[in-house]
Amino acid sequence: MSNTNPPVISVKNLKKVYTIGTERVMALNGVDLTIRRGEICCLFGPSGSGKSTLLNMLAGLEKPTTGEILINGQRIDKMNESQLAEFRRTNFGFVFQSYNLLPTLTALENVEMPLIFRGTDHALRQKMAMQMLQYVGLKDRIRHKPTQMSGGQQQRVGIARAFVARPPIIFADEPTGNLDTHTTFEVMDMMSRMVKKRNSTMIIVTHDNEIAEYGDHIIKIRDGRIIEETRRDPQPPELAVPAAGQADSL
Amino acid sequence: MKFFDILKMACGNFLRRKARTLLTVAGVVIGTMAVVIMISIGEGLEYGYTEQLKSWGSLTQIEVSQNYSSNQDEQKYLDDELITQLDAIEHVEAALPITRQYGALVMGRKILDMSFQGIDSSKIEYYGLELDDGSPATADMLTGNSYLIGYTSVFNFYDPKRGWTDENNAWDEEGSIKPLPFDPINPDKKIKMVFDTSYYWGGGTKPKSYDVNCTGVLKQGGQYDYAIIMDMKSLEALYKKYTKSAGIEIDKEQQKNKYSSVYVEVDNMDNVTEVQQAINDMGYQTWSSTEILEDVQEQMGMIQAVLGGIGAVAFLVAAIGISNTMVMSTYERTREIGIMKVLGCRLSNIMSLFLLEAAIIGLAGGLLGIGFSYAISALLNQLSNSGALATFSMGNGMPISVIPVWLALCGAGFSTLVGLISGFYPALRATRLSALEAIKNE
Repeated sequence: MSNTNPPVISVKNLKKVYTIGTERVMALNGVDLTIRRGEICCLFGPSGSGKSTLLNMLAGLEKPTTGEILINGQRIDKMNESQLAEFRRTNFGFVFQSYNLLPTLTALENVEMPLIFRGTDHALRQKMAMQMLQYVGLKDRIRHKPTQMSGGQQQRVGIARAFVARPPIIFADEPTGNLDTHTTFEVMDMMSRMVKKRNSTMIIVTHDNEIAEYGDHIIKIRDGRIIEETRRDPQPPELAVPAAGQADSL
Repeated sequence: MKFFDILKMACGNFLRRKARTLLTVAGVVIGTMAVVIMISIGEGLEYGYTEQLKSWGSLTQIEVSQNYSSNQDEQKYLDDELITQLDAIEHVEAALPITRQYGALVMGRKILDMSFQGIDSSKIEYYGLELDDGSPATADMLTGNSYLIGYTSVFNFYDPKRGWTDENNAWDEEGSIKPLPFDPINPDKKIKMVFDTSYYWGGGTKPKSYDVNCTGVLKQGGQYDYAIIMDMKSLEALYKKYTKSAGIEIDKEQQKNKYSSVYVEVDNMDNVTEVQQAINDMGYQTWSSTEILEDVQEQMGMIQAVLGGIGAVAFLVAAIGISNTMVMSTYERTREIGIMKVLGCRLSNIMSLFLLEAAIIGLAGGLLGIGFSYAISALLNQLSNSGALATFSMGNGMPISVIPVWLALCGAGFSTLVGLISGFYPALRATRLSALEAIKNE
């Protein structure tokens, strides 16, 4: 195995049962996995396979029925909601399929959001948010509201927001699901470069083969179980190195 | 999250749904106005009563009178010893003795029969003698056989053979006070003083009269409106001359009460009851208009509570309006709240955000409501002066509605508090939303 970094996430015998009416649905049926630092990990599977449920539980948005989730040495399945909020604030960044920007705020304000929650000073957080927006190529769109931007631009704001507070772990749930092919690659390149540059960890949920190509650790899921797990060498250098030194300062 | 950032966000949201926010604020404005106007009317009534009481006599004054005792040895009198004792009580500014002699002023055929009041002119500033022009009477106005006369008393010179005529009425048909019929300081006919008036009613011989001169007219409507004021030593000297010439024996028992009445001027309204108690303990009876005032204040408190209660119904409706708006807001912003939660916003911050938004609605409504209340209050008072609402007024020029600063501050504070309380349930609802469900809904 090429990655010998310490594990950031380890999951043991994770199960999730939904009760819909009188019927019990097994969304996850005993998942064990380890994700190491610096990895881009793809949770790959068809819809209804349980990959999104797994991501939600790793991100502390949903409680498992049974099983352990250890992130950076802490059992997040045992945390209450306030502790989880605090944990998410300091450890996670999120990229969503539907961008989930706040419609009333400008691009800059949206990117500032995680820093506002952390209580960062106004001047510092504006500087950090500006740098991120510059990196994602939206320097001239900082005063725009989400409704005044294309899908690709909105997702780039989403990426800037996910990375701005330098979280060690990024969760991306079908990040390119609403984007065209060209924009999909742009966005994926952007995220991968940032993750490699910062040596952070990213977990991507996708059903798209081309997206899965970006991962160095691919976990195939079907019917709530891991059916195949592959690790491979880190991505080719042109993806690991920031384009034209744009991200040097980040 | 820093408080300032929450505040900024809350202000941003306040202006987001302008029409709905405006309507909710309008509700609070009406609620605030209802309470403030209602209470201000109670305040106006109390103000009117207090002013009326003040016109009857100072609110810091206590009247001291004898307590008639069955035991002759224990009987207390209104004498110099009492004055010394009263002056020594804490919070007493001055004990004010008054002597009275029945008599009359004579001007040609007309007489003004009225008792002469003798005061201690070394304490004149405490008697509350105010001249017609608003300035206080001074001791030099009572030197020699000088006197001061009440404004209304000037009208009361009449010819006993013809009786009381329209000239003796100080008010015209419209109820306004007339100008003085003549200047008593420089009268056309000389004014003299007598102690026995029976001659003027057609009996006995013409009494011996004494030269006196008027040095001022006392303000109309005051405590001394029906009075002739002299220095007590001058008055006593004149009376002695009279008794000597008329050969009258002075009753010894009557002499023990040197003063016909004694007043005590207290430094502050709040100390009146305490001083009254001290005087009662000395064995005298006391009376002060503060006693009435306390009753009035109690009654006014009840009236205000009832009026305020009526206003509070409007406030309650406004509070429900705020709650409704804020609950609607949590429905609309479910996704936004979800995103904030996923990004790790503290639950307490979300709670604060919604509470603050509700409080801002309350404060905005409160401030506007206070502003409008002042306008309506001014309008009411205008109408009470011009006659349209005069029947509700306590008297000429008395305001119907008074908004003291505390009422304005309490109004704004209370509406903010109501906003906060109304926002509590919606805020709690916002914090309890499932982040996952919130971001799922497309």
